[in-house]
Amino acid sequence: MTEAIINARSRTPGAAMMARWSNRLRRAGVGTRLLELAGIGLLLVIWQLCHYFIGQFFPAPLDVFDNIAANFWSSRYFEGIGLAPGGYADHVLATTTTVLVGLAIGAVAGVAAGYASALSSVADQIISPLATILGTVPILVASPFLLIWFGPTLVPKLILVGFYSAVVLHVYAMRAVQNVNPAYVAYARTLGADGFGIFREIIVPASLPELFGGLRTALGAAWGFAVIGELLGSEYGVGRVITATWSAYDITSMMAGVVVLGVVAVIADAILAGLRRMLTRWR
Amino acid sequence: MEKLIEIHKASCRFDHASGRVVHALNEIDLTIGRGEFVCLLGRSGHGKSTLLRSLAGLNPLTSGWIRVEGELVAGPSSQRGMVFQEDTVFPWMTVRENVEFGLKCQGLPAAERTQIARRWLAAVGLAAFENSWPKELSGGMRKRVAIAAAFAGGAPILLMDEPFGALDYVTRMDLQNLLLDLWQRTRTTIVFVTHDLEEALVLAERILVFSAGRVVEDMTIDLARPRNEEVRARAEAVAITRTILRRLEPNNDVLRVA
Repeated sequence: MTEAIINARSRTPGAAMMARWSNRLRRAGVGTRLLELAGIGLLLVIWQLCHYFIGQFFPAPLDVFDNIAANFWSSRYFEGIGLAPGGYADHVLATTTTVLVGLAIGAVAGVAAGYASALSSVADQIISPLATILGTVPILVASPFLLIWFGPTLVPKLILVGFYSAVVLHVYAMRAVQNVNPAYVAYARTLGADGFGIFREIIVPASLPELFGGLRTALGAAWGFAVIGELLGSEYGVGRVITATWSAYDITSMMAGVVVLGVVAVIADAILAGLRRMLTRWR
Repeated sequence: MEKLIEIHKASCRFDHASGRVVHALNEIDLTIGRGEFVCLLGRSGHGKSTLLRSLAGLNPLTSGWIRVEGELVAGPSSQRGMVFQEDTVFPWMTVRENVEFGLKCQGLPAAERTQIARRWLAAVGLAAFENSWPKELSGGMRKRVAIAAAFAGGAPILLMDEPFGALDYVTRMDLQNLLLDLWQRTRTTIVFVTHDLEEALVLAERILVFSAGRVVEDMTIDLARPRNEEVRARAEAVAITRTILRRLEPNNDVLRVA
């Protein structure tokens, strides 16, 4: 508290007032949760203003929420415009499955490759050129090929997501291992730890925080890759909803799809952050 | 005294990419007896840490050999514990898990490990912190954890590479006293690298002065214990200090660039 007062004095009058107010709010028991809600509120206000100025091509938040509520579990309207039976729930579940399975496969492959690159120069010489080539070619250019080879199934989408996750996690895992303080390894060796013991007890826990950074990056982008995969051809998925409602010129449903996906993505990110806190509570 | 460590014509040279060749160790011949407390003293970059790391098996020699209890040192071993200057306490393990880690590597059952770890944590005054994470401790306390881990492993030799170098003066004195106390109780052989003359005078039974990769002075220190921070003022200590400083004078700093 004293710190805040001292800071308040040293800054400009505006900042001082902000500091005083945030202090008062905190004392009144107003937590960060409420501030987060205020942020979301602000977003809704801006959204409403966009609707006000742009008009029907930018549907109002309430119309979008009504649309989600009406079509969440099942939707005759969706069937009417040629979508498979089911509501937003079924479509977002399909996208989520693609993201989670693709991320899991990609993460395992990428982390394994990253560890191998960092720990063995032979492995690195084999993997690094591959990773460089695959990492620099935009993975999206592969999607038409994937569609030709695998059709509108889960496989091309899993490949898109898995591939990107693997490339990201390869880099993160390799850097994480390279950043492990060599003194830890030397110390462990003087305690009698052998190769695998060092890997399991030192390298893995020491690299975990950075791996979570990579997982978070990959997860964030995975939603985009999954949806783009679905846009190109799919039976279910938020991307499929967007293409179908797009042809019907139904902007409200398009935005509703994006909102549902956004909410699920935020929840997934929060779960990942919770998992990280749990596994690296020593930090 | 029984010979524990024998060092024969130990040399170590580093060929740097720039073409510079550094003779970090230059044909060192040395024996260290069981139970000794030896300080390797010298200025930075004169080979004392290199020798210590070679003793640990972390740094291969270019020529010559080191034997411990008659066996050639070929790599690290739990028979030679080490305390580093850096903070090497593993942050992802609790204090007790840290002390147990070496015992785990030696394959001891969990119950026995815990018992030994608790005993050593009590010996360094950290009994109440066994379940704490290292981040919750101060730098001095983490050093205590490292010392407890080194002794808990039961190695007959402990190698210490400027372990207290990064600590404040008072904490350092506390830890020196703690280390002396543990040494007197266990009679573990300790090889301790320092560039701090006072630290060497407080701790050592024998001081080896390093210069340009050689041992230029081998002195037995028979100052009466307990020694404290005023040890340097004693008449015998003044004589020792004078000898050591003469050995460390800048004009004795042989050009080591070949």
